[in-house]
Amino acid sequence: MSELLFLIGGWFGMLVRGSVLLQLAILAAVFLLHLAWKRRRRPSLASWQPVLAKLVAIGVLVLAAALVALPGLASGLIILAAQLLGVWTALDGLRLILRRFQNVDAVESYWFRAVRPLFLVLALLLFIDRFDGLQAIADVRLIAMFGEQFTLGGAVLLVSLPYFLVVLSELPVLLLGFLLQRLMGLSAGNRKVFELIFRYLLIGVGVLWLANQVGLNGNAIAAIAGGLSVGLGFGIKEVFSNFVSGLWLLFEGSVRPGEILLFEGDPAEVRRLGLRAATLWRDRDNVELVVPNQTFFTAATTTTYTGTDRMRRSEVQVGASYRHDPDRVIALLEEVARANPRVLPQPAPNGLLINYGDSSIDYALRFWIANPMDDPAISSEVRRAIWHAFQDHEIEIPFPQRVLHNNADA
Amino acid sequence: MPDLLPRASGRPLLRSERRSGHRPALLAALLALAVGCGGCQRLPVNLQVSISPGAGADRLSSESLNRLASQMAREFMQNNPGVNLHLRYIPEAQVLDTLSARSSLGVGPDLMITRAAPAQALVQKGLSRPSDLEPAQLDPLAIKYLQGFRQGNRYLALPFLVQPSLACYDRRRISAPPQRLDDLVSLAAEGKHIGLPLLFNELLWTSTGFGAEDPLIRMLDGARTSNGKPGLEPADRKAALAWLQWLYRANVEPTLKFLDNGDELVQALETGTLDWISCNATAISRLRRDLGGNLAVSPLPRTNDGQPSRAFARLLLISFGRDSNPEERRVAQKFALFVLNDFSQNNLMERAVGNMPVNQTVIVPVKNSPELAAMEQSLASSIVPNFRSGVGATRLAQPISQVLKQTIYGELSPAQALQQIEALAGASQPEGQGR
Repeated sequence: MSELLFLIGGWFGMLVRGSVLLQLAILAAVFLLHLAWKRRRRPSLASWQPVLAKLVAIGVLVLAAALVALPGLASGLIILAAQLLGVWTALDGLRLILRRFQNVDAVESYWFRAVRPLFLVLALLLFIDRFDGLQAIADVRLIAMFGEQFTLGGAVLLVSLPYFLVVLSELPVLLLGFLLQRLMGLSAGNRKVFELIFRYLLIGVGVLWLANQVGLNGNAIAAIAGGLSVGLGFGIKEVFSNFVSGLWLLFEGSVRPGEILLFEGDPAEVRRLGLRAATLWRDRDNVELVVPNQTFFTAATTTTYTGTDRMRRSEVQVGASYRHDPDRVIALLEEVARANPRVLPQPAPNGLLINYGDSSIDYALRFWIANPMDDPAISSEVRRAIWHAFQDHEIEIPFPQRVLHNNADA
Repeated sequence: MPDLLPRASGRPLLRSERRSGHRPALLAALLALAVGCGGCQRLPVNLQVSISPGAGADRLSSESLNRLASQMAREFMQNNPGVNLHLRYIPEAQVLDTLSARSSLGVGPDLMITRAAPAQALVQKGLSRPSDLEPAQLDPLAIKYLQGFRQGNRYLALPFLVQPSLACYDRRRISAPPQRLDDLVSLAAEGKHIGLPLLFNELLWTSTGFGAEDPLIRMLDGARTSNGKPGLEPADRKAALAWLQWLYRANVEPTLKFLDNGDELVQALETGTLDWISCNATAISRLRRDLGGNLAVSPLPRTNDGQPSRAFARLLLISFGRDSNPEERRVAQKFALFVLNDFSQNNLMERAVGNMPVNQTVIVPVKNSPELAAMEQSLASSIVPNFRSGVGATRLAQPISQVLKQTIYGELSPAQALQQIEALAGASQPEGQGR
């Protein structure tokens, strides 16, 4: 740690050089002016004004660098800042263009989670490299761990790399999934499986590389693994169980993103299958249910509507008076179902007499729909159409009735 | 008529002056910061020192030099409280680009330790500036080779350490070192495995006996022939051709091998593939570690007429950075004087094997150490590059080595090779810049 403080002290020595201070003062002035403009105008995320403002700032920096260089003073810091600002402005412009063609939320999310932090980290590393050499800084020893020197470079990698591994792996994996889907004709579900597995693989390799980079030797990894096995036995058993369940479910293909399951009596769509839990979307109240992976793994049955195909068979029950001919009623019911555009013609709707009830003859109308999530809406439409059809054909839906026999008459 | 406001000191203050009353203070503060932090006198002086002693064969020796440099830095800091020395090791191949980039930001090092060719490039690029040390400060140190770096009454760089070329061999296989160049070839004919570097400046000592060495060095330093063109005079050309033909013939000997660089030679001697090699003195510590007492060193073989061969010695130089403020510059010069004094030079000679002092007041204990004796003897006839002579041969070593390689493998005739070497020399010197 004292090595790090000594190093920072050395930087301070360079920073208080006159030519460096002058450059820093110019950079600070331009930055503050830009900040003041931003606070006054408060441009929206979709506005091109910040891009124009940054272009003006680049112009000012280039001009300032030229003026500073005139008497032979160093101006590289200003030029470097202008170059970085140029790259940043280009990226910002690209973001604004992408907003027009892609999902805005996705673009902004990737921008804030990946592009911005990555650019800041790379810019910082570039500054340090130009300033004092990255290797020299990375080699600064902090503490000894497992017989290895833990360096500043290792610490920075340990903090930043896992984040960037998780965030940055998203886009290349999506692109690869897209390409494979086009080339190999993968289904959407299989594509998602592939993307997820490839991402886990990427993150896994990254973590191993990181362990090697920070100087974890084989013994250290064995020690950590030993600790983990104890931890698995107690505290993080559930986490590990969920992770393994998630992988298994992916391979098995029963709970993949895009699948529709019957969960707690309601159809729900699988939105994400994460390391620990799956996220399900329930249509009826628009909620997202975060369900631990092992729930599906240990449950006796998982009901899915999308295992082999995406069709669902729906059923509507209705009662008609005893005085109506059942054949006529069944024909009418089937006709009603066929008339609904959202009911599939094949397999054909099927009317059934299911019971002679106390008050009515009970019928069931079974029909097939394309999207399991549409069942409540289509069933409602069919029920309404049955009412109107019965009305038109004077078919009575009887109230509950009971025939009373008076003994006095006998 | 401007609107005047009352002022206690007498002169009324203009409204515009009042409005901007804080500006002069701000500007003064900025100016104070910009001119070098006048109020920071009590802060420690942080001195940036870059070290690029070379790579390849002398890697391990460089490491020992680096360790010693760190030790010297600690000793200097102990004697100079309030001074922090920050050492940075930059590979020689990157030194120019790295320092150029840092200097463009204004954060170039205060002091740079490099070999002669990079030091000259630093001067030419304006990345270093002459020493401000007075003769009264330098004269007592009796620094060798200093005059080769003089410009007017100042020095562009200061010699720091010198690393001579030697012959290193395994005494189990070779009982007595070859005395002359022909003996070397004879030794190879007897079946001893001899290794020579294919790097031009490290091989040039074999040309001494042919009379080709000085003309080639002069040509590569930019000298012109009597007709004003870059190249060699007819007599010198003849000598150079004789040397190239010797190289070609020598390579025919199956046990005389030309390897690409000194590092490969040292490795081959370590593993026993070779019995005798020409080496730089900085390789001794590495070879000693592997060969122990079986390692022997001697001066390089003489010419066939008995004259000492004149090999290139490596010279480490101290250059001063251009971005230092006056205080940093003062401390940098103080540190330079510290590493050049008898104590430090003696320390370096004894503990970083292969490094010879430039301070002539340091006594080299040649009687106690055959290695130091061989180095001292070799130095007496060595060519030590300076900014006037010898740097061209180092700068163009790589491309000329390629030409030599093609020559010894018969792809180019000696005449064609010489033509290409002359062309390289001409290309490196723009018209009108020859001496």
